[in-house]
Parts: sequence; C-alpha cells; structure tokens
Amino acid sequence: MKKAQLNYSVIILFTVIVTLPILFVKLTTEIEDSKQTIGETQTAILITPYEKENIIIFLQKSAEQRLEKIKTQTLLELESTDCQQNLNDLFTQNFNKNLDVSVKEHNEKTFITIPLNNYETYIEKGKIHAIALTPINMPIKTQSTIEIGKIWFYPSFTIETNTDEIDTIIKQEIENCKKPRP
Amino acid sequence: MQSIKNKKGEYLLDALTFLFSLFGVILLLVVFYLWAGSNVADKTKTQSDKITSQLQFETYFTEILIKYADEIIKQDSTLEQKIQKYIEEQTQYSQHKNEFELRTACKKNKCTIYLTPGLEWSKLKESQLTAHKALYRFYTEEGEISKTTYLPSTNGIFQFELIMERG
Repeated sequence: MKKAQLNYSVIILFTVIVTLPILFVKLTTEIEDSKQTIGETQTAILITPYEKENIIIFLQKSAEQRLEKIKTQTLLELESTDCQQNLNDLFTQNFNKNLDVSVKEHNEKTFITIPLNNYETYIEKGKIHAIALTPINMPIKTQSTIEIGKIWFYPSFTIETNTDEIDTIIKQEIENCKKPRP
Repeated sequence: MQSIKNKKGEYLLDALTFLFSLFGVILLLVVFYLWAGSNVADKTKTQSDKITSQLQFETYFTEILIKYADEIIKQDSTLEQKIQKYIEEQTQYSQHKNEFELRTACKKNKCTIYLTPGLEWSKLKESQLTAHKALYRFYTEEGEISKTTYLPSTNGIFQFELIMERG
C-alpha cells in the first residue's frame, strides 16, 4: 500500500470510528440533561411578575374591604378635630392604619415583607389613588426556597369607588366645615 | 503495454475508493447532523412548551384573582359556575371547550379550586397548538401544578389555592 493511501485510510478510520462515537456520546449526554424542560431557577424568574401582580391584588382588595371603615373613621375624626385637620391627611392616616392590619398578617405568613404605613392617597373623581412611598423588596425564591435574586416594585394601586357617593361625602364634609359653628 | 493498463486500472480503483469513502463519510456526517438537529429542536420545543404552559397557568391564576376575589373571599355559591364559564371562554379559542372539570373546596380560611383535564391529550394532538393546549398537554403528561396566595377577609387573611391535577 502506498504511503498516501495509508494516510488517507487512517484519517477515514479515525473520523468514522473514533470521532463519530465520541460526538454521539457527548451530544446524547448533553441533550438528555437539557431535555428536562426548564429548571426551578428559570421557573421562579418566569413567575415573578405574576407574584408581584398577586401582591398588588392582595393590597387592593384589603383596601377595598376596609374602605367603609376608613371613610367612617376619617369623617368622625374630622368632626372631632373641629375640621382643623386636612381631610386628605386624615384619610391617608386611616387608610394606612387599616391596611396595615392585613399587611402585618400577610408578612407573618409569607417570606415577602410589605412595608407598613407606606401609602399616600388622593381622591379624584370617585377614584382613590394609593401611591406607594417605598418599594417592596421581593426575594425571588425557587420551590426549594433558595433565593436566586430580588426585585423591587412600588405596589401602587387605584380603587374605583361609587363616584357620586365619595365625592358627595367629601363635598358635604368640606361644606360642613366651612359653616360657622355655634 | 500491459503494465500501463494495470497502472491506469489501479489509479481508477484508487479514485473510486476515494470517492466512495468520501461519500460514506459525508453521508454519515449528514445523518449525524440531522439526528443532532432534530434532538436540539425537540429540546427547544420541550422548553417552550413548559414556558408557555407555565405562563398560561399563571395567567389563569392571576385573572381568577382579579375577576373573582370577592366571590372567593365570600365563598359565594356561584364561584364554581363563574370560573367554569371563564375557563370555557378562554378555551373556546383553542377549539376545545370543556376540557377541564372543576371543583372547589372552601373552608373557614382556605379555598382550593381543582382543575382536572377532562380529555386525554392524544385527542387534542392533531389540532393547532395554543398556550391553553400546551398547559393541558404538559400537565396531563407531566403531573400536577399548584399555586397559593393570600386574600384579605373579614377574619384575617384568607388562603387561595389553584391546583391543576392530572386527569
């Protein structure tokens, strides 16, 4: 056999018998590893925006549920202070006080800490805008509770109320305050 | 003369051997390339199915919360019916209505909704894949998924859980 033929045969032999099985084994192993859909870390990252949304829903529903109490307390306090305090400040104070009851319980039961006394409110055309002052620092955790990162977000929300009712109450209260007291 | 002919024959044989082996190697490489390619495509598909189905499940969960939080908190008797209707509305785009059986179990401070696929995935395979079907397929083949959150109630906070279980 000529030298060139020998070299050629060796190259072919090496390529076919050695290289392909090595490639096959390597690729099979890697593909089997990565066929396991997505991991816990990726899943945790994927669901984070939904977790954030769910926390805001919790806060919004808590505020909606306590709204009646917040209104009553605010109006009572306004009257008791002889209309000396700003209505909006009183509303914000009572809003935070009432919301914090739910927030404290939520903080006890989950690994997410929602800040207390965290809202500035203002009322506009029957809508109550609750603007968060500090962000929630939410850890991103896998199912096996390993923390892989954090996100920060401001849990601000708006409550739709009965437009006429809330505006009328406020107007009435302001009118009452303007009236000269006996 | 004979020796020249033999030489020519040898060259021809060498050339043919070379071409034949080259063809063999190219064929092997092409087969290998196709095999590897299809495996990588399978892998990408499995991951995209998982991502799509996870997103669809999270969307169901959050939308149920947004739409029916009050009913869940009050444990309203129409809750099951409303959620069933909501899922039917979602699934009508995937050409398969009523693919889920739904039941709720509400206690004092906890409400759980169970979604169980009502058909076998194999019966849906032929039609176009949607996010809803990816979710359906994933959890009929892979198992259970659940999610929990809290809602406020008059007696403190209230746990809400959605479980999608294997049919």
